[in-house]
Amino acid sequence: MDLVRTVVDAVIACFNCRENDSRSGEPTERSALLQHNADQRILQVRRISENQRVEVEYANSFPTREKDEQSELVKIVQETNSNIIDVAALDTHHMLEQSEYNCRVKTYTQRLAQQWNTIPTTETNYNGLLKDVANPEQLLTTNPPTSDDVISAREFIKDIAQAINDIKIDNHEDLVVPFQVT
Amino acid sequence: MEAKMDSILDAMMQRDQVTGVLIADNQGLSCGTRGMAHSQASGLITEISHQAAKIHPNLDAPVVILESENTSVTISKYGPHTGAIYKKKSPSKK
Repeated sequence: MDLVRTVVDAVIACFNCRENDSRSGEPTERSALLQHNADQRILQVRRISENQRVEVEYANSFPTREKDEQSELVKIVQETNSNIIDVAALDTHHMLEQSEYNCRVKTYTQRLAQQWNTIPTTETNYNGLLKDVANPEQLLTTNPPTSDDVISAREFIKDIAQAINDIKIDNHEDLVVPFQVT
Repeated sequence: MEAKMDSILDAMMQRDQVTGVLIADNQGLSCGTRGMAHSQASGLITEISHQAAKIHPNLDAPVVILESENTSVTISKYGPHTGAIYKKKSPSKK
């Protein structure tokens, strides 16, 4: 298409030249408003020169294909290197000596104790049944009451109640006593 | 007159580990005491037996045993009368 267009343009330019010659350079209705061919060439030249300038200025930012592959490889190597967990190296680097370990245990326990002391604790009120008993374990480990105790207590109160009911008041004196009788 | 009651109280005091005996009527009036039992405790003992009898009104009044470190008090009720037997606690079996 470009070729065809250039040919057509060239033909049109030839016609224009003839008419320009015949009409002493005055623009007619057939004269082209824009000189296509020349402008396109100028634009192409400008684009090419600009591309070259950008490539020269930012040569480092436009790596070649080889550089791309190299950087990709380097990137992969770095990623794998960062993802690898070297257990042996860890052991050697993070190995604590026994004395340092004990020292750290002491410091951590001390800090924990300090933190516990600073925490406000609410006093718990015990509502147990044996809260007023000093040594409930002694009370609870004693022998339970036997059935003989219960039976003897029942017999005792029965006998006593019978005895109280049997109490009789014997009258030995007069019930009516003369008082201040003249 | 109250000789029979006295004899029963004395007989109870002769038993092992018994340290006191108390008898009270329905109103908490002390009818007789022996040993470490104090007549002023008769009202409390009577009230305890009354409250315990309310647990199962249709049954006989239960026997209440109060235990302290060295002494136990066995409270029993029969009719209008309430009795308390103070006992020294036996050492626990281990």
